[in-house]
Amino acid sequence: MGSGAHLLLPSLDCVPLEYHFHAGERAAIRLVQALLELDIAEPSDWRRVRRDPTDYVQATLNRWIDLHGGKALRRRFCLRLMLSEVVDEYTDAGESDPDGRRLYLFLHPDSAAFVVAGPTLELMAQEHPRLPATFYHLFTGALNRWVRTYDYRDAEDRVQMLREWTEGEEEQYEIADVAASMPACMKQKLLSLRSLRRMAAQARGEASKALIAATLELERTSASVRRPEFTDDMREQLMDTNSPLPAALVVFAENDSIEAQFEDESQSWGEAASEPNLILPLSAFDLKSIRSAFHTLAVVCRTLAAASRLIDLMPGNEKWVTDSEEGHGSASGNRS
Amino acid sequence: MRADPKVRREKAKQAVLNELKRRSEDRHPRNQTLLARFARCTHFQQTVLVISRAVDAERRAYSATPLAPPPGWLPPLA
Repeated sequence: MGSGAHLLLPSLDCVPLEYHFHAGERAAIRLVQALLELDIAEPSDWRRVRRDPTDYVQATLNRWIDLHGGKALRRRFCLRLMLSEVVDEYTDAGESDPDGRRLYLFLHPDSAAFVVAGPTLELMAQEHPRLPATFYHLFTGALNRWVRTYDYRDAEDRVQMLREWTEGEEEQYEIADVAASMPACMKQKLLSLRSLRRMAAQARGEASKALIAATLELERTSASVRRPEFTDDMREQLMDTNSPLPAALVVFAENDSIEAQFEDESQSWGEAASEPNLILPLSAFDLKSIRSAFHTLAVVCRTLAAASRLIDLMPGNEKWVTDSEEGHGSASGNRS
Repeated sequence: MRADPKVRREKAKQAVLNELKRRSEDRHPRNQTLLARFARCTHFQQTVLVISRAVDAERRAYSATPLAPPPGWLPPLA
């Protein structure tokens, strides 16, 4: 036909101005359908994300996090939540699954929330000699249930390892004494939860009362759902990864030996892929798995939000906040 | 009078679900245009290329006057 004498310009009416191609659109479409059926997704977000299924899933996750304490948790924690068909993007173990039958929500820290526990332990000791250790173990235990929390136990493990490496040549190296930085009150026997609840009503100081109440709330929230076990497929994909990066660092005092061990150890953390702090498997074709993953995610968010509120109450932690309230920026107060 | 928020939400949800159903079945209106189908179908593209080359060869061989493309069609380019 060529151009000839009758050149006709094609009509572009009704032709869309842009096309989008998304490699994972099939999985995203199926997941969006499921999220709408479960009333987890908000229909009004659809126009806002210009009818893009992938962006819609992201908007739904953001909305879900905000609904379950997003603002409070961002005040202290810097975490990344990702949705992918493989747990470790560098592994070959995960087969491609364009339909979304096997998806994973996983959590990685960008930096560690910084918590100084010493002044709080001193305050608690005025109420009851066994209260400081009880508070400490409940606080770190509730966090550790969902995200890795680096504290004196990690620092002691590292020091122990260094001692083994330098056996016979100890005098040539200066190895920190982590145990010496631990307050004596930490060696006390723990109180039962029942005793702690009683103490929440009977504490003399208002600050202690608020701290105990916030600790009990954190423990209750954290323990309200069981952490999902790793599947064989997840274990296979994580075979070559390092242990998870810490989402929080708890020290007794600023610049103590725990912080020094953390700083030293962190030098090697970027050398290999790390296991996520949390992995929630789901299938876009299984409503039950989606409901369960989102319910667990809500509990994790509420736990971190409760921890943030508790840290706000802990004396000596006024300055370790992120700048997230002005957007999703870096965490100037955190340790990375 | 404005509809109940629950009813409005349900309607909006159904509209999104219908659109996603059409899209997952590749029956979304935007994929039904000539240009979209052409962009997505390699058989379509190859066929057009073969016809275009044949017409061009025919024109050069016999110095024939090319026919005007039907209304709404894109002029083929070899």
